[in-house]
Order: sequence, then structure tokens, then C-alpha cells
Amino acid sequence: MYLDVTALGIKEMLAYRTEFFARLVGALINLAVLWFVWNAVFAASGLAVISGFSLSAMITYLVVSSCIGPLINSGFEYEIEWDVRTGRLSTILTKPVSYPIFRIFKGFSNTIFTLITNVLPIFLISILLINISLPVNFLAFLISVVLGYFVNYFMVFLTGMWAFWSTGSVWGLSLSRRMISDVMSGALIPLYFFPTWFADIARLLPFQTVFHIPLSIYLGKIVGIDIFYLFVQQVIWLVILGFLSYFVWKIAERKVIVHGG
Amino acid sequence: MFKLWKQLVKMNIKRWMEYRADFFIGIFAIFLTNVISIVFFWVIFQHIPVLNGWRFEQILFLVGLSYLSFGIWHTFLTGVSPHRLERYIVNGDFDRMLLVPFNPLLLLIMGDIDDDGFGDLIAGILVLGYASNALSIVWTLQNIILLTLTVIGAVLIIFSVVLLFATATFWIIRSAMLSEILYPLMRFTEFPLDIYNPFIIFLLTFVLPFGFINYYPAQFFLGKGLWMYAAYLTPIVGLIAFVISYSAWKYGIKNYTSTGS
Amino acid sequence: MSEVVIEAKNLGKEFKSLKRESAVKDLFSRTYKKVKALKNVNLKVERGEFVGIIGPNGAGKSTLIKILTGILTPSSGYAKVLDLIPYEKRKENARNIGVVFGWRSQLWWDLMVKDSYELLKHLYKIPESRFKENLETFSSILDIDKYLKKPVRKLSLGERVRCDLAASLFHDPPILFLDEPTIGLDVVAKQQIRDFLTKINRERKVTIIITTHDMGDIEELCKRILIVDKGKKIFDGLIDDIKKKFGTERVLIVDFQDPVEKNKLKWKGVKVLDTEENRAFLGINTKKASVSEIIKKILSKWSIYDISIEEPKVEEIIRKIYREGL
Repeated sequence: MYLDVTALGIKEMLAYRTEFFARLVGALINLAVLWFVWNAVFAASGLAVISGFSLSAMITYLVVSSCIGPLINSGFEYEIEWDVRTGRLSTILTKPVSYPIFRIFKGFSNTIFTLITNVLPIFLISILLINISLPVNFLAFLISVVLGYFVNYFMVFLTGMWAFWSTGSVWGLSLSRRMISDVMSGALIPLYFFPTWFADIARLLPFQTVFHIPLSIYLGKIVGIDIFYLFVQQVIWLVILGFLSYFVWKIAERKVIVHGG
Repeated sequence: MFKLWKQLVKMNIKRWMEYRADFFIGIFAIFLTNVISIVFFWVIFQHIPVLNGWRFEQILFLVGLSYLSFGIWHTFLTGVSPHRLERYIVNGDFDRMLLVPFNPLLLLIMGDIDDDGFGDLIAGILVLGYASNALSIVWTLQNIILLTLTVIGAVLIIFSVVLLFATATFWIIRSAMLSEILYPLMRFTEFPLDIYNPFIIFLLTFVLPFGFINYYPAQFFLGKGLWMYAAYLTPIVGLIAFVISYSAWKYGIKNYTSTGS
Repeated sequence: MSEVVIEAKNLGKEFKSLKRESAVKDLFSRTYKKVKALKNVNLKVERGEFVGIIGPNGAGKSTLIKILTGILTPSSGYAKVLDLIPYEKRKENARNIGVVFGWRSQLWWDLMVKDSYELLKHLYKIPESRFKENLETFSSILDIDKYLKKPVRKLSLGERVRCDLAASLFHDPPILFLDEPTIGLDVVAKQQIRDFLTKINRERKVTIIITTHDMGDIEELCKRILIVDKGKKIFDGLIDDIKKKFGTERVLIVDFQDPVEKNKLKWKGVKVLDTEENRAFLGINTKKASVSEIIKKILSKWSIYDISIEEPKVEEIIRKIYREGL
């Protein structure tokens, strides 16, 4: 039954296919800018390897980061806000579904659609045009991406929960979270480039499970048994944030039912 | 007309105070996006002394200049944007604007003052201030006048490009997707133009004159390079860009009134 | 002879509309079909008139209003409002007209009503004293004093339309256009608005053009109506004329004491429309039979509890006109 939600979500998105195409173009432009930047950085450095990255490894890092980004940033916190503002939430609550689970499956439709329209094209174009490298351990990479996806999901969900308490919009909070995440997760620059004190702090936070861990596995920076240690980190954060999300949701749900939204 | 503007400003301030949390969070979020940029550069410069001939403080000056101009545009001129125009056309508000004895473009601009832009403005002033101090730039009267003209020209350029994209709404209607391409394109101004290949430099100088927003003016104030006198062209380029865009806008309205909605 | 304030000659409007085929085909090519929203419409309205425009959905009413208010240019012919061509001199024309769209407010959504009014005062450059006068007058008639400090988004539809109505008249326009103003309103709100419109038409001699689906609006407000169908003006005249020409049917409702057989009620010019137990609905064509004669005949033959005569509603007449043409 929840799979119907996903299927329906995909159908809805077909209507916005031009927006997705535009987003793909935007992502490619972004990538192009960064390509030039890092080429300039390596040229300025004169070294073949900076902080353990060769230029091509860096480019690969950028591309894969650009692939993970759209996958996890589907903007569903705004959908939650929309549900709350328009009262659609109340309609959903009258049905025998769990709202958080409903949201997860709706999120899948976003993810699948983005995967096909944005991620795969970016990846394929990059392989053909700029010769990025393939993952060292594809299975481990895939697992870490999925785990990271859910960790990020709960963080976004919590951001969306703000809609139940704020009179304004979720936008500011969401953007702030994205910015902090971009820095702390290694999406902006690999954590390996940061001074050690910063990287150490970042490694204690959940953000790094979304980018840093999968990207490290992809580039083979972590291999063998150490990968499991990373999975454990991801799972721990997943469980913590999952419980937190559920807990906050329960409070929000009660607020809606008691106060009528 | 000035009374109208004063009135609208009062209305907007009222609105901000009503959603006070949003007011501050929004400014903070945008400020954060600029901080992230600075962090990016800071980390890079831990590994290289100079980027394509630009020192860290010089880069700061470059981006500070762009934050300032974008900040002014963001605060006062984002009433005109592809996605706003699309919304007004679709819900009938644009027709209502045409029924008032007033220039619809001015109506659009004055109707929406975006407090988030203050985040860019504050960032711009701080960064520019720090950079010019670190570089010991002397603010002679001549320099101040040129800076003012540069900023005005830069704001005109940004506004004109966005206006052009917004005008496309009259033909495409679903123009919101153009924003997805437009904002990544603006990203090119975050870095010095000389890191890009000649073709892109050409595009950013003669087609989408983003180069005149901060790159060429920065060259002048920093006393760098052969192109520094191009800085004088910024206000002129701004004017030309505006004339072109405004003509397209007028033509767009004509087309709109003949095809209906 | 009153002056002509609105004139339209051979007004035509053609739209290119997208023919939507399959989603895949649409990606690669676009086919258009030409739709004639208005065909050869001629119109003359004099100062002080109250004209209603009715027609089925898609008939072209809104297109006509859009052209007269200046936000749409015609494909052929021309229109003049107070000697200005509205779609060429948009701003000047805007000063002469007030417009109320039933479905879209001119007030700013987030602001209080009075703030929107202030903005309009500046936009139209209305002198402060005149603005205050109008505000007082409108507030009392439309009873909107209590809404002035409310944000527009918190108003009900009826409250909002009343505020919109006031807003449209602050600058004392000689002409008022209303596009479906009473749609979705309750009876009380409709009555308030109708009273207000009648008043300003009578006292201020404001020329009013109203498009509506509501026959109550038409019957109460308009002396003259235009019927538009498929882009053409198929009737332009006084309501009384319509009733005289086409309203030749009366419905007689008779409550008999005992049930009566249908075929006993057959006379020339009389049609049995319906029977319910002891009640009969008889349609009488007054060109062929006299109502009083029929009543006499019925009373002479049967005992009855009650008898009543119904005039045809304008609505039915117009429905007939849609169906059968003139």
C-alpha cells in the first residue's frame, strides 16, 4: 500500500520533468565551475597530491558529491510544511497510515525520480567527458549511501517538524541546516583538507555520515574492516535520529489533534 | 510616487516584525551561505599561497564586492523574478497589476522587499571592510565614487539579467525552472574570472556580463592586471543591460496582452 | 441623448490554444488550434446604464471584459472606453475604471484592509479629503468598518468582495466592471452587494457592466442584458422586452381535493407539465389561451384547495435562448 504512495509520487513528478531537467543543467554548471576552481588550485599548488587527493581523485569526489546531493536534498521538508499549512495533514491523519512512514515512501518517489533524471546523467556525462574513476568497492559504497540517505532523511524530517511550531516558514532553518551540513559533511570540501581539530569535531557529528563516509569508501580511502566501523557510525546516528524524529513527530501529532493544527 | 514607496516600506517592516523569528533566521541563513564560501577559500588557502595570482585577502575583496551588490539586488529588487512572475500570472495577480495606473515593473519591485538580502549586505560590508583593511586600500574620494558607481552598475547588471529571465515567463509560463539555471550561473562570480577558459571569460564579459559585477572592478581597486580599466565600464554595461532587458520586458507585456493567459 | 461611454465595433479575438496530445508527442512538436473567443461583437453603452452580460462558460464574457479593461488586445475591430482605446492607453484608461474580479482580489493578501486602501490612495493619487469621504460612505453602506483592521487573508469571501468593491471606487471612476462578483456568496452578502451597486448606479450615475451567472443579479440590477454565446452577441436588449417576447408561458399550480385524471385537463394551449398526487402543474401558452379562462374552467369542474400562477423565470427564458437561439 505504501508503495502506491511512491508510484503516485513518481507520476506527480512527471509533470515537473522540465524543472528536473533544468536542475540537471544547473548541477552541471555548478560542477563546471568547481572543475575550473580545483584545476586552478592544483595548478597553484604545484603538487600532484594535496591532502591525499590527486586532481582526478578530487574531480571524482566532486562529481560523486554532486550525485549524492540531489538524491538527499529532495526538499520534502517543504512538503511537510505544505501539508501543515494547507491542512492536508489532517486529511492524511484520518487515514490508516503513519505519517512518517508515508513521508518516507513519498520521499522514495523523489529519490527514484531524481536518480533517473539527475544523478545518472551527471554520473554518465562525467565518466564520458572527464574520466572520473569508478568506486573501489561498489557494494560497500552503495550500503553507505543508503545508510547516509536515511540519516539525512531524519535530519530533514526534524527540520520539517519546525513547521508545526513556527508561524513563518521552514525555509530559513532548512537553508541553515544545509549550509552547516555542506561544510561539516565534507560536501563542500573533503574533511581531509580541513585542519585536524576541525575534522575531528566534524567526525563526531551526523553530517559526515552522509557525504564523508560514502565518498571515502568510494575513493578507497577506507578499506577492509574499517568500513564496518563506518557502517556502525552511520547506524548509530540513524537510530538516534530515527528515535528523535519519531519522538518529535508524536508531540507534533498530539499538537495537531488537540489544537486542530 | 515616493509616498507609495514609503508606504510599502512601512508595510514590509510591519510584515517582518510580525514574523520576527523568520526575519532573523532568514538573514542568518543567507549570511551563512556567504560564510560557507569564505570557509571554502580559507581551507583552500591553507594549502596554497596564491590562487592564479590572487591572494586570500584579494579573493575576499572580490567576493565581498559581489556580496554587496547581490545584497542590494536581493533586498530591493527580487520582486522581479521568474518564479514570482509565474505565480502572479497564474493566479491572476498580474492582470490586477495591469489594471492599476502604474508601471507594473515598479509595482513588482516595490511589492516585495526581501529582508533575507540583509544577510548578503552584512556579509558584503564585513568582508569588503576586512579585505580593504588587510590590503591597505586607501578610500580616496575618487575611489569611493567609483565604488558607488560600480555597485550601482553591478546591481543593474544583476537586475537586468534576472529581468530578462523573468520576461521569458510571458512565453514559457513555467519559467520557475529558469531560476534553476540562473542561480548556478551566478556562481561564476564567486571566483576570479581568470581561472576559467577563454570561451567562458568571453561569455561572462560580453554575453552575460557577470564579470563586470566584481571581477573587473576588483582588478581596478587591487591594482592588478591589464583589465583594470574595464572597471570603468561597469556602470555603462549596467545601463546597456538594463535598456536591453527593459525593452524585452515591454515587448513581453505586449505579447502577454495579446495572447491572454 | 446620453453620451456613449463604451463602444465596441466588430470586436473579434482569436486565441491560439495548444492541442494537447500524448505526453510523448508534446515533447517533440506543438500543434495549435485557433479558437475564436469573440466574433464581430458590436456594443454601445451610455452613461449611467446598468448592463448585465450573461452566457455559458467559455462564451467570451471574460474575454470581452478583459478587452474593455485594457488587459487584452483584440484581433480585429476596436473598443473605446470614454474615448480612449483601453488596450493602447492602459494607464489612462485605468484611472477611469473600477474593476472587481470575483475570483481575484485587488487587495494585498498579508496586509490589513485599511493598509491596502492607503496604498490604492497613493497609486491613484486620490486627494486625502475625497478618500476619507468615500471611505466613510462605503464603510457604512457596505458595513465594512469592522474589517478595516483585519488582514485580507482572514476575511470570508463575502467580506472580501465587499472590501474589494469599496476599493474599486475610491478614485471615483465613472465606469465599473464586475466579473462574477457574487459567485460563491451567501444570500445576505449578495443582497448587500446588490443594494450597494444599485445605489451607486442611481446616485453617482456610475455606469456598471456586470458579468454573472446569477439570475438574481440580473433580475434585480440590470435593465439591459447582453447574452453572449460562442463568442457572439446573440441578444442585446431590455429585460422587459425579453419577458414580453419570450415570457409567454405561465405555470399554473393547482392543488385538487381529489386526484384528477390527466386527460381531463386537456385544453387548447395547455400542457400538463407534471402531476404529484393531488397537485398538477399546467403550462399555459398565453398566446393561445387565457389564464383566467383556464382557471374558470377548472373551478367549474373540480373543487380545489389552492391555485397559484408562476411567471417564467428569466433564467428559464435564457436557457431556452441558449438552447434554441432566437
